[in-house]
Amino acid sequence: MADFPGQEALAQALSGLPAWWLREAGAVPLAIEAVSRSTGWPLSHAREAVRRAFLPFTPAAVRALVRSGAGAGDRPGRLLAILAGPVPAVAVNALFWSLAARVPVTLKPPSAEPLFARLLVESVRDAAPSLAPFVDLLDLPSGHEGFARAVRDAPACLAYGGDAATAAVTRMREGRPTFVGHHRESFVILSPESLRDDRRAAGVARAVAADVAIYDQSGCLSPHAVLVPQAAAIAPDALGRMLHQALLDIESLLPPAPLAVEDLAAIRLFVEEARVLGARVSPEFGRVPPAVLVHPEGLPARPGPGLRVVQVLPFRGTPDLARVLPHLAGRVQGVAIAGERRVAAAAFDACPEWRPCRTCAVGRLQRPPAAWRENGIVLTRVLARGAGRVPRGGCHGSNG
Amino acid sequence: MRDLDTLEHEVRAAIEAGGPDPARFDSLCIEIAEAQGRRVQGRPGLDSVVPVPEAAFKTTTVACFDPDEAQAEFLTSGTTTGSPGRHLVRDLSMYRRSAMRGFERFVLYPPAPARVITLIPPAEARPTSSLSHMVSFVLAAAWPEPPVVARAGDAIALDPVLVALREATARSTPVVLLGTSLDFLALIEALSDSAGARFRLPAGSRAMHTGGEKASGRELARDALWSALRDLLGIPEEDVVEEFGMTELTSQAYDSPRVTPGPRRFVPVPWMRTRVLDPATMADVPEGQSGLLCHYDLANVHTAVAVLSGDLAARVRDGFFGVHRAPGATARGCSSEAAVRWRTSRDRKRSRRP
Repeated sequence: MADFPGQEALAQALSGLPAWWLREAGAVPLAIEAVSRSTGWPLSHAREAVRRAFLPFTPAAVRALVRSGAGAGDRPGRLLAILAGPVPAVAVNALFWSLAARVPVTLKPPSAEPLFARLLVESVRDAAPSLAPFVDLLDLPSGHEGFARAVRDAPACLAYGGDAATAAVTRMREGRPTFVGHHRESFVILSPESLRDDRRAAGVARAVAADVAIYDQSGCLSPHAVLVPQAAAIAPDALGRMLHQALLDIESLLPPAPLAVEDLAAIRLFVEEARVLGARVSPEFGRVPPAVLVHPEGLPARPGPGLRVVQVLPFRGTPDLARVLPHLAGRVQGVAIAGERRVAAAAFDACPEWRPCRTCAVGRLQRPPAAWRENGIVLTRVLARGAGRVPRGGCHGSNG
Repeated sequence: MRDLDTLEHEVRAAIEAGGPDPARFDSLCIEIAEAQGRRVQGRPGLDSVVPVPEAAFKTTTVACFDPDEAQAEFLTSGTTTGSPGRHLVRDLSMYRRSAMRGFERFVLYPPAPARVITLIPPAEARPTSSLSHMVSFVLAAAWPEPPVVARAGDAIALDPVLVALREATARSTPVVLLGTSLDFLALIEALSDSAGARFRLPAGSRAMHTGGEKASGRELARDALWSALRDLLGIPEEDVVEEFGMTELTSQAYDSPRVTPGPRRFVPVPWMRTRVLDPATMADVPEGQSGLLCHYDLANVHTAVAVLSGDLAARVRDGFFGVHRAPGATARGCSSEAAVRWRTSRDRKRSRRP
């Protein structure tokens, strides 16, 4: 195989990809239409989803990423990235992070949305031809013997998916370097000052809605719960109604994918079950989704259906994350914080297993930087150091 | 506002009369919902009745009476996670009345069968099963010939079934068989394995089948069941009655072609109404479309008059068809109980070998 380009050439080549996709000329509009059909997201939503995937990779960010991937470590010969879910950023991140570390990458498309990864790999030939030898696609179903062989033999593997799928990959790898992106979620913590009047509260609601609506609340950075202080001027119920209105308003910018009756049934049952448990529901009666469920204080969150359904959890003092979010121990990807961070910091200190891999301002969850600590690691740096040294899991950092 | 005890009297009378005046159903249901504290203002008709989701029977006590006064506690079956759903029955006589009037209407159409053969255990064996209680009510009814309970502990007993079927054939007296999907699957397998176990039951014989198509991970397509009952017992498809019940309800729905001809569909008893609702809006779906089943059961006068189930089905005329669980809804149903073993058929085969 050819040698990777030198640092500057590598950065320049990689920067060709966002330029190509964000220009929306040539084959890109057709590609976005194809993504729209494949994901079910209406065109404007699909366009924004693709845009978000490439936006973090500015020329400066790419140069920094490539610099961080330099070094004399014993790099793996290739990274097999087993993708999951419909979010284009997952494939884009895997590609950039691996190539920045001078590690060739093979993308295995997710079964839920098999098209974008293929388009991404094809775009490398046009947009960054010098990198084409280092990128390919493994377009085999998970049950295929060729897939199993690729999983066993890959020098390094990045596996996204549910617990069962990632556990199966880990078993197949038999101790070889494997980076696992199992199920994680995000949530929001609001401070009293962020809710001291209607204007600020409405702004917070709009920002939260923006993070919820993109990708229809799929992906590990989607917030499913909002922790709201009882002591704020704007009460949790009022915030819930504002959030519901904001979710309705954003449908014109990020229209949701049409839902099958089975998905709608799951949402409706979740909403009605919450109502019986004492939650106040917005809309009280009417179309779901979106839906915002304001829990009575003390009622913990439940694993939700996503698809623009948010649970609002009132708290006093410091939120007891173990009590209100019991299902998220060790599974928090991001936390967005509105206002001062003291309360959130105290909550994480009290419940370290709920500490996120990433914290940011509200509305920024779904806009991570190019080199963020997904699942607690910066993959480029880890690959560059030598994939034999897979770091212990856990999230301890904040990277905006 | 009338209290629930007063409303109960009207419901009982309505059941005895074969159902309330259709024009009265909605208002009676709304009155019951009001007395149960489950009605909201400002919404028309049955939309003002707030249904209790099926899952609430697992997490709360759904009862408008002192739970200590319950005469029976029915539990859902076949859960893979967590605790079962619980339906407290204040007065079993209401359940008996509703179940029997429905059974008489949809299963005991003329020519009425002379004997019942149940593959489903009675209440003594399954005290928390609403289906088993219903079977006990049926067994206790006046039958020209003694009922047959084809059970031996947890297993089906084939011999009593064969004896009863032979007698029915010899005497030309029609019978009705009661069974879940798992029960009938076991019966079909045993009859298929037994040489000479083929019957042409007399006209009027019928089967009442309850349960879904997946029985403890094994498939039993409805068409296959109907074909097998026709081939092995001579029961035509039109005489295989499908029964739909839920632990959380006191009343049932039936797919009984002789009683409700036309496309096969579950039709509720007249004191129950089942709406097929668009989950997004909770509005009735047009005919032919699928939605969540919401049952308005007048006989649930002391618990929840409206129950939003975790089942999806298509709206067909006056009923519904193609019931399947919504994703995220826990698997349930009588056929998801532990698989029943045919004990005697295998033992009999072994005993014949030299």
